[in-house]
Order: sequence, then structure tokens, then C-alpha cells
Amino acid sequence: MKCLYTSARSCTVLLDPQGDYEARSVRRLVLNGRELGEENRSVCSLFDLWPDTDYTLTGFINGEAEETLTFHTDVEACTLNVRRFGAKGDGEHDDTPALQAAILCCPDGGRVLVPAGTYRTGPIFLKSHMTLELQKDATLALMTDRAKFPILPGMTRTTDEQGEYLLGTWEGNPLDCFAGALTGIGVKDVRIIGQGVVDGCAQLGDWWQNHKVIKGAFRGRIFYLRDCEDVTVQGITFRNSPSWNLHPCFSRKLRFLNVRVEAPYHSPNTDGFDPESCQDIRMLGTVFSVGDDCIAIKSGKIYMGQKYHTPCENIEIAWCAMLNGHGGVTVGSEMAGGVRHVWVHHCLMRGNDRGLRVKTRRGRGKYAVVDDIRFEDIRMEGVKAPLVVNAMYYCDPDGHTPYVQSREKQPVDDTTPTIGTVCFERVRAEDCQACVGYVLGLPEKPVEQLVLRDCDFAFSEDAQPMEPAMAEGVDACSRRGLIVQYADRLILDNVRMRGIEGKPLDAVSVNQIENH
Amino acid sequence: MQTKNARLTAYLNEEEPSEIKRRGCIALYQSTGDKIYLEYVLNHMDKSSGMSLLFAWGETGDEAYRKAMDALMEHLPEVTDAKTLYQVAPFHAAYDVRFGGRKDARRIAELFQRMQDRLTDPWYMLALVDCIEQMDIQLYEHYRVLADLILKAGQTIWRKNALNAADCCLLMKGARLGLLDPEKYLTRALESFPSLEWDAFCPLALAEQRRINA
Repeated sequence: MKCLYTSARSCTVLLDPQGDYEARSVRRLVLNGRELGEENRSVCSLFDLWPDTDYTLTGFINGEAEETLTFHTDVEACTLNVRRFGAKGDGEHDDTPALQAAILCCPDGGRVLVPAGTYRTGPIFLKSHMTLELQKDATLALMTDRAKFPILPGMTRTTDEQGEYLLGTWEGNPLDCFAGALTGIGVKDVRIIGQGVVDGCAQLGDWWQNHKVIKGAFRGRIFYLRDCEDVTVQGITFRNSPSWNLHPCFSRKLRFLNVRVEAPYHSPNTDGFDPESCQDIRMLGTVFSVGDDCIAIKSGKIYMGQKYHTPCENIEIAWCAMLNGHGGVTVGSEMAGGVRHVWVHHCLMRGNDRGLRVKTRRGRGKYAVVDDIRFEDIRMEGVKAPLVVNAMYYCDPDGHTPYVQSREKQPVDDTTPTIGTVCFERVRAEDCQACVGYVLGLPEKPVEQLVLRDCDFAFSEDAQPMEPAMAEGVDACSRRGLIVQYADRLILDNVRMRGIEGKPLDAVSVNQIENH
Repeated sequence: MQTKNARLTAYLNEEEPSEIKRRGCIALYQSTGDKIYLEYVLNHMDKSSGMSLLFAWGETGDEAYRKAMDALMEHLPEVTDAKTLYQVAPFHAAYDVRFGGRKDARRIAELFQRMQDRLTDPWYMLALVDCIEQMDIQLYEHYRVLADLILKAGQTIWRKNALNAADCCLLMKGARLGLLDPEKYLTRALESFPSLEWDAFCPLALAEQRRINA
């Protein structure tokens, strides 16, 4: 057992580093002599702790004390209960001003407490050096009338007209959008903790209807951070976001621990977690079940990439469950600032169209470098295509033009994106459908290195055909092996493929193949 | 033809139809709703005026205008001067967004960049603000090229001693589209407005002023 994080009122513990989302065995947990019940996850969080207190946690497997962990909770300045600020929590009264006042009045190191109840609110803005706790059975239910939502302007020129101040964003461009249910702008040292729920209530409003028509501004996210640092989200459930769920932008040092993200399978653009040009992120023990990609790592479209060239990097995603959702972990397609050092390990992916999906295209630019993307110790169940890398992604207005789709070598220039190393180790996939992997680089800029080591892919008997990559000339397929076109180096080491039809490796224009 | 402004009435009645007159009338119709201007455009249609065809098609739904737009798009005049830019670029942008699959934004932005030595030519300035109004902001890198040129033009105008109607137009429309700070630029335009000398760009400036007052 290992303590991953403590606050004044909570703690997150790694119980089984070798498990995936689920631990290999169930534990009975006892905290300072108090029974907490059974825990079957690898990472769990404990709440309702007292500040500045010593704790001893013991885990029992089959009645045997397995391990003991001691930790000390942080000091807390004071707790402000939102009820004392006038919040009713009755699901009807507009509790926005009460919650916002409590947050703005909170002293450094203080806690704003939202006890059980349903709080009808508009977007709430966070403040530095504080904790917001949504206790068990507390729900922030977002209003549905967009006229009551503040708008975050996309781009504001600085007064000297030399620079710009960015707030709103939509799909990698600085555009006006509605504020998020919880919004942090330039805040640091913030915790949002507890077993409560933030409900975007998008199914009750018009956010998901005619969603491509811009009504007032682009849709908000349920949790939005911009220029923030040292933010922890622990235990909270987010559901029914108007668009993307968790969207930190240009922020650093973020932790998401035992979060749940839920949206109906057919809800539009409800990605689970989309870090954009962020650094040093840990996403641990989280469950995703959403209508789009579970995780999509981004760094803006061409304007943001070329102006700020801020990559999204140093990201650890572990002990998570990606259930449903189009992609388990996606890189791009807005990645003009680059994405690197992404380490996904000990995760469970179930029922996704694709496990890892890298999407880019000509025109993303010279800062659009994808490198060091690692999948290790991953269990996949019913993932149709475990690995897809596509440098000719067509879902842009000009995506079908020869500039994007040509299989002829184009000159390498400032618009050419790069894909470096992508690595799969100890990935076990059952009930695959389309193919083990589909990798399409650029003829002028092949994928630098693709490694598959100690992997096992088994196909479903009744596999249904699917187009593995969104590029022109890619046909639907089923039960295929690994298809690679335009790569420099391909290393296959102890890779098992079961139930495929045809040859295990279909490599075209691959410069070097090492097959062990 | 009789409008509430005697000078405007005289201008519309006395002089030959031209692109700037049609475009002035489109803007005046959009800001006042007065059918006089709509009729002027419909009665003085020219198949080389893309913006007039688009406007007429939107107002009447007559597919003949749509066909004329398609034909014009097939044979877009080559842009070698600012006046042709004003005639062609906003239409090209509008057509591309509505019917062309949003493929040409890059080409349009590059055209403005190439011709930016004419930044303060009235035709170039009006082409800029009319064109950006038609572009898809989600193709932001191209949209932003025009937005930055509008700021540059605005800064140059702001330093001038006396403004003309085209200057006021750029400042007012730039402010209305959220591209220029209204505190700085709109104020300047409105200060200059009463002392403007009459010229062919005045109907456009008048239309913008009405939109702001509304």
C-alpha cells in the first residue's frame, strides 16, 4: 500500500500496483480501528477524515492483515458551510450566489463545505488556496438556461495591443465559450474533493440538440481550468456535461484521483478528459463511460501550436477504467503544440472502438510532435482496434484534399507533423474485431518507431468489420493483424495474435523490421 | 428613389450603378429594413457582383441567383488591385463557407497578406471587414490573419488627423465584430462622423452607424 495523496479531509491510497482498475484481490480496510468495508479497486480514496490527525490504515486479504499504512492529514484553517451563506440545497432555489460567496470568502487553507442536498447552480468560479468539498449525496445540478451562463471571451487584446489574453476555447482555438460548471482561471493550490456529484444536466437543456449550431457561444465544459497550477480533483462524479467533461488548458501539476466521468453513449462531444497544453498530470483510479473519447490529449490547432508551442506532456494515466467511449486514450487531433511522454499503464479498456488512437495530419506544423507514447500492462476487452496511428486524419474542413490525403511524398516543411515512438508492452486484448493495429504515417515523415512487446491479441469469432482509421482509402476490415504503412522502424517482440485471418503483419514502406 | 437623407437620395438617383452603390444599399437594407434599398439592388443587379447575388438569393430564394453565383465562382476575376479584392474576396469567402466546403480560407488569407502594402486603401480596408464577416471563425488561423490586419489598419487610422467614411467604416465594423476595442476605435469613428465629407463610402458608414445606434 502506498499513500498517493492526502488533504486535510481525505486521502488516496494505492492498494495494488499490479492490478488494473480492479485490484487482483478484494481487501477489507480498517482505519484507526474503524471498519471501512470491502474494497476491490487498486486505487481508493478515503473521506470524512479529521485534519491534522495521524491515521493507520490496514488492509486484510482473506482475513490476513496484508499491509499497514500510516499517514497524517493536513491542517485546515476553517470550514465554511454553504448553508450558512444562504444555499438551500432543495433543487429549486438558485444557490449560485451562496456558493460563489462562500468560495470568495474562504481564507487560505480553508474548506467550503457543500453538505448533502441538490444545489441548483450556474457556473461557479474557483479561488486559490482552498478546498471545495462536495459531501456524499451532495449534487451541484447545473442550470439549463444558457442565458444565465457567463461567457468566457476567447481572445481579448491586451491594452497595448501587443499581446492577447485568452479565456474561452473550443476545439483547440481561442473562441468564446460558456463557463464550465466549475471553472478555474489562474488559480493554484485548489482541491475539489468528496463523494458528491457535479451534474451538467445537459439532457434536460438544449446543449445536445442541434449541437453544431452555435447559440451565443460554444458549449461549456463541466470542469474547466485555464492557467492553473496544483489542482486536485478527488472522488467527485461528473455527469452529463454540455460538451467535454474535464478540460484543463495550459495548466500544470494536476491530479485526478478516483473520479467518475459519465455521459450517455450518444451524447455529442462528451469526451471524458481532455488535457490541452498541460504538464505534469496524474489521472489515477478513474472510471470513464462517455459518448466520445474517454481521454483525448491535445495541444491546440495551428494558431495555438505555432504561437505558443506548448506541448501536453508528462502525463500518467493509471489504474483507470475506460468503458465505452470511442477511444480509450486518443492523442489529437488538435495537437499542433505536440504531445509527449504519455504513460498509460494498468488500465482496463472495455468496449471502445480503439484502444490507443493517434490522430494527426499535414498542416499541424513543426511543433506537432507526438513522441514517447507508452501503453503498458493494459487489459482490453471488446476493443475493436487496439492500436491506430493515423497521420492522414480527414475530419477537418480540408481533410479530404490531396494536401492531406496524398500518398505521394510531399516536401517536409513548417507544416509537417512528426510521430516519434509509440510503444505497446504487455497489452492483452480479447474480443478484438477489426485489426490488431493500423498505422499510417506520412511518406515524407514516416512514424519513427513502433514497438510491440509481450502482447497478446485475440479476436472475436463473430468479429464485425470496421474502418480502423479515418483516412481515405482505408477499407473496413475484420480479424486482421498489424497493418503498417510509412514507418521507419518496427519492433515486434513476443507478439501473439489469435483468430486472425491472413498474415499477421502487412507492412508497406517500412524501412526496418525486427521480428522476434 | 426617396430616402430620409437628401444627400443619399441624390447619390442613389443621380449616379451610375456601381459595386459600391449596391453594397451600400445591401448594408442600408440590413440596418434599416427599408425595402427601397432591397429594390435598388434587385433592379441594378450585375452578374459579376457576387455579394449582390448572394444577398438577392437570400432575400428572394430565386435559384437563378444561386446559378449565377456558381457561374461566377467558376470564373472569379483575378485579383490584382484593391478594388477587385473588395468585389471578389468577401464573395469568395461567403461562397466557400456556404457551398464550397470551407476549403479556400487559406487562399483568401494569403491574398490579403500578399496585398497588405495597400492596407489603408479604402477598398482594401472594406474588403477586409466584409470578408472576415463571412469567414468561419473555427478556421481560426486564417480568420486571425484578417483580424490582425484589421487591427493594423485601425491603428494607422487612429493616428490620422482627419478620417474619411471608409476609415470610419473599418473602425465601426471592426468594433461591431469584436475585433477592435470600441472604447478606443468606435469612439474615434463616432467623433469623426459629423464632419465626414460626402463620398461613395458614406452609405456604408451610415449603415454601420445605424447598426451601432440600434
